[in-house]
Amino acid sequence: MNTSKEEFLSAFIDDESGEFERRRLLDELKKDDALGQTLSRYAFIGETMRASKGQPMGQGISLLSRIQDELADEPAYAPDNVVAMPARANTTAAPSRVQAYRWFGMGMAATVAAVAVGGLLFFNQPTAPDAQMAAALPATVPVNAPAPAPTMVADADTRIQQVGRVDPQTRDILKQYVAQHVKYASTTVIAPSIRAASYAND
Amino acid sequence: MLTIKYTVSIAVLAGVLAWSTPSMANEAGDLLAKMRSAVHTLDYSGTLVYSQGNELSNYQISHTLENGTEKESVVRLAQGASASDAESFSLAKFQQVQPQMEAVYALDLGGQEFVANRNCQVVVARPRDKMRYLQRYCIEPDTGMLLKYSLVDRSHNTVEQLMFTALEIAVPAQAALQPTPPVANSAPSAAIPPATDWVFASLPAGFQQVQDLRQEGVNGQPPIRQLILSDGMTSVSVFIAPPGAPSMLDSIGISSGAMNIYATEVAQHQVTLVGEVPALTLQRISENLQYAR
Repeated sequence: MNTSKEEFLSAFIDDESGEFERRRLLDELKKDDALGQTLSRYAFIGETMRASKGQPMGQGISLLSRIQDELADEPAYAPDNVVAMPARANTTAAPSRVQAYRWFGMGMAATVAAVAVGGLLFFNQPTAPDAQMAAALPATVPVNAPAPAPTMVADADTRIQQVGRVDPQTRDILKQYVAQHVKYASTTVIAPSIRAASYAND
Repeated sequence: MLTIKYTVSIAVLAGVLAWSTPSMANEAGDLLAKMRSAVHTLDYSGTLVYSQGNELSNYQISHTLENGTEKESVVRLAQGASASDAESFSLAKFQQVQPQMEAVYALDLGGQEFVANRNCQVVVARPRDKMRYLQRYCIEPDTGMLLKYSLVDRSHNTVEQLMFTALEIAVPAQAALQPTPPVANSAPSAAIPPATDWVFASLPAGFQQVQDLRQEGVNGQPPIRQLILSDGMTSVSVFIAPPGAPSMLDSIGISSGAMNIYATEVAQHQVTLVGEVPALTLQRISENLQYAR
């Protein structure tokens, strides 16, 4: 990554970049893995500096959220807005080496974009082993498989997202339940204590 | 002759594969067991970063073993609170691995990483269904100390993650000679016999009821029942409030990182489920909860 990109990134993080520059950065983030990692690092440094001034960690995270939202708003290539390429006259059943390279290149581009976006979530997102781990998830759907029908997962998640506010009485009850769950039911290591501290300080 | 060679080669290959897969699973299980012991027997202190959804926070964490007694604390940093008025929480509240765990998770060894200036080995507990999150550990092989931990959903999003950024470890002399057995969960406020009035018609694979507690109500409210379900690696609390208790909305769901909350009404009781599992799992459990009286 060259110096101008770093300056560009710094201006973006400081909210001093214009609309055009922001669009350009978003384009760059899609294809530049290193830039995505640098952005995450800068954002984390900013978080730490703000925290050292008495501001709780996480309050400045809206920057990352905003970037993610903007990336999410980028046009996606859905089956209904993609124009199929005309079939080549000499297309055979087996893909040629050129086609294989083309698919490989597209795959690499998609991978880099995914890594750049994923890098925004945390300053040190999972690396190669995590990718292998994620790839091993049983949820993985083959590219050529038909789209799965919506399940109850989507319904439940939608409902959860719809409920953004709860009244103070409900919140108190829920905090009590969460505390008791963490205290008596958590089975993992160290994480329960961190969860407990996190909720106690919310 | 050529056929015999191929047959022998294939048999040898199949044998190696058949041997290597359970061997890796055993190694992963052994490492998890070592980790569970290490957090009790080691003296350690350090700072870690915890991410929950989009939220990041920093913690100072410490654990010592003095004359067989564990002393531990977790203090959230950068909140303007001094260590003296910060709450302290136990680091050792997990249960032992349950046998049913292997029926619902596949244990795998991953690669090696470098966390907090230490090498660690990745262990993955991959769920065999959609009712739980993938758990990923990075454990220092020599000490068994957990350096990094994350929960990943089916969309491959990391919903919760913690990672040490600095860590100092010492092995107490007495611990090296006589390891302390893992401690069970903190004593419940009131343990009661397994529920017969509330039963589950069925549960997601691997889950079973492990505890039935009675929690005191807040502000003079009637006691709350807490049924705890576990699949050996993660757990769900089912809180049952009697009729007349302060009610919440008819049916709500809240998500915070890996933790989901789902509330509904069953037989005129307010039922609230809390757990580090997908929302669907909580919903399925609540649908199968029945009042038997």
